Amino acid sequence: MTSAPPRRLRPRWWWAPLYLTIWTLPGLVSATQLAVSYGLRGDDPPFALLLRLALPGWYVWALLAPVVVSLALRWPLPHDWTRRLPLHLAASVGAASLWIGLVVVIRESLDLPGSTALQVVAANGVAPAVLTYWTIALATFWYRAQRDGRAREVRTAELDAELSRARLHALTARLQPHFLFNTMHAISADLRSDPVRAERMLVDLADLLRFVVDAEGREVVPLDGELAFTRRYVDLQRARLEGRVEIGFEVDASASPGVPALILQPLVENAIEHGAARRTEPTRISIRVHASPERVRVEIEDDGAGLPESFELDRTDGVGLATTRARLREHFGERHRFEIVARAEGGTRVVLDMPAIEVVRAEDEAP
Amino acid sequence: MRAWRAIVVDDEAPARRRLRDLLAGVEDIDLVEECADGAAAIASIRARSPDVMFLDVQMPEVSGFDVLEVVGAGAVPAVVFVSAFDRHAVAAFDRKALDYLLKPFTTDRFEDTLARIRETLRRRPDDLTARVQAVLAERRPAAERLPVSVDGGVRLVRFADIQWVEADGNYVRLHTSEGEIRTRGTLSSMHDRLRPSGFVRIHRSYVVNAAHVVQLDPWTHGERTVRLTDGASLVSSRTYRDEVARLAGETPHPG
Repeated sequence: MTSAPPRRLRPRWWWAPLYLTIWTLPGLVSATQLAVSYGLRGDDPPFALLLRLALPGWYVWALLAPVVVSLALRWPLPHDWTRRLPLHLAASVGAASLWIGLVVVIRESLDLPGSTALQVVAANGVAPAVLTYWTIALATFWYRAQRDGRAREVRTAELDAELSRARLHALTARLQPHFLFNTMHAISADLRSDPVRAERMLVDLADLLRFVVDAEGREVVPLDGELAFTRRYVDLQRARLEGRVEIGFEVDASASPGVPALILQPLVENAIEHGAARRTEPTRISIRVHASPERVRVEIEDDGAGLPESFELDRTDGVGLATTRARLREHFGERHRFEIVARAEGGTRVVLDMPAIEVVRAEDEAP
Repeated sequence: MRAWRAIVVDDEAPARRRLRDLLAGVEDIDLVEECADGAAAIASIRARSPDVMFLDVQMPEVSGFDVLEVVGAGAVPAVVFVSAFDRHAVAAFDRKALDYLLKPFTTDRFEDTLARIRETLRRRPDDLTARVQAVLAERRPAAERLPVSVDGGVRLVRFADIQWVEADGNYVRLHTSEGEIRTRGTLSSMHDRLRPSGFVRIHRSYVVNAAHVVQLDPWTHGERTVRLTDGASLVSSRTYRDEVARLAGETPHPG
């Protein structure tokens, strides 16, 4: 996900006068301070003269401040302070020297009373100049920390929202509401006329829901359990779509290695919901599972409605398929094969070939 | 008094069985046919003109709404929608105060529906057809295909494939990229169904798909020729001058 580009402020005509006014304020304070200290000594120099003495120093800061701000933004403290603190110390001394030099030049050119000697200005000015540098830098660090904090809060909220969306998708993608309600309706249809069948379906549905609830928070389950779950699901769909689907289920397993939980059912569901439930003709679906201690291979074929013309697995909008693909990638990286292709004779073929995952059994975990 | 005649339309056998069992104990309603898909329902409505229809909304190929689009909202006096899960449809039924059954439902709930059906059939409220029509109209902008009945079956024609439509007596003729389709109906009702998908009436006898119009040329006073991607060239009439002007991207003249 790309974040929006930082908002750029459009320059406005009143920025320059505002900026100048901001730096004039401390100048006025300095001039007043001078007037007071002269007054205490019994002197009464004209205020205009005091302004000419005080303002240039602050206007030089107006010139230097953008450089200080950009340095502070580039190397914010306290992060990585062992390298950055010396850097800013050196920069503050450099800025102070520059400031002193410029102030001397300006005072000389303005032909002001009092000493313009470099040594005098430097002796009086270096400490306040270094302090001014640090004031500007600290203000910048503080502003930056505030801004980053807000951005982090927004990002965290976004991540949380994404996560809960993904969880919700996982649940609804596992058992479609449409399937659940139609199955319950089918049970209600048999309740009086064929109570034994109604009971069978009700228990199947309960097993199905129990497995989904149990699997919540478990990423890996033994293939046995996954197959039993898928079988229940298939039985219920057969009952619901009476006469419209014929589902073959072949398992050839010499072992029951671990597989990602609920990885099979969405694929079977796709074959039923997209292959069979969307057409009125009967559809044949065959599910073949081959498992060894090292690998699990699943093949699901149907002769149903087939794929949309523009189908591409990498760019599917189907939440179910996208989730399956992402989970497989998370578990196995490139060490798996997952394909959905149109069959030449009509319908769809899904092939999933993945390495076995070692199952840690609950007994082994106990101390 | 003779019993009312009902049909049940659902693609899932257990769902049909459920309604069959419930209706078996009802004396004043006879279940005359069960239909497993939309096409069968259309044929059944035409052959038997039932008084009551229990209509599943989600069915493969021809949906419950498609059935009503083809036969018309008023073809069956009492329609009860049956749905397992369709938020949009249910919201629409609620807004228009139409009765529907949510699967699964209790016998009590079904009895309520029966009472409402009897009321409807006795009093025949005038606005019922209008309310069904309103629900259909709400769904049209999202639809992609037009269900059209052709010799006993139903064809689903993609809107994008229809170039223009022509009135032909009691029939309309759809000119599509896959040839002509002749179906029973009036051009006005056809235009009502096509309007949300960008179809414009340009003449008493023609409706054109705006997406297929390639050229508009002046003809005699106030009339124009409208050329379509399939090469057809139709002359618009003055009555529909404003619609044609909009088609050309012009602001229609006042008055």
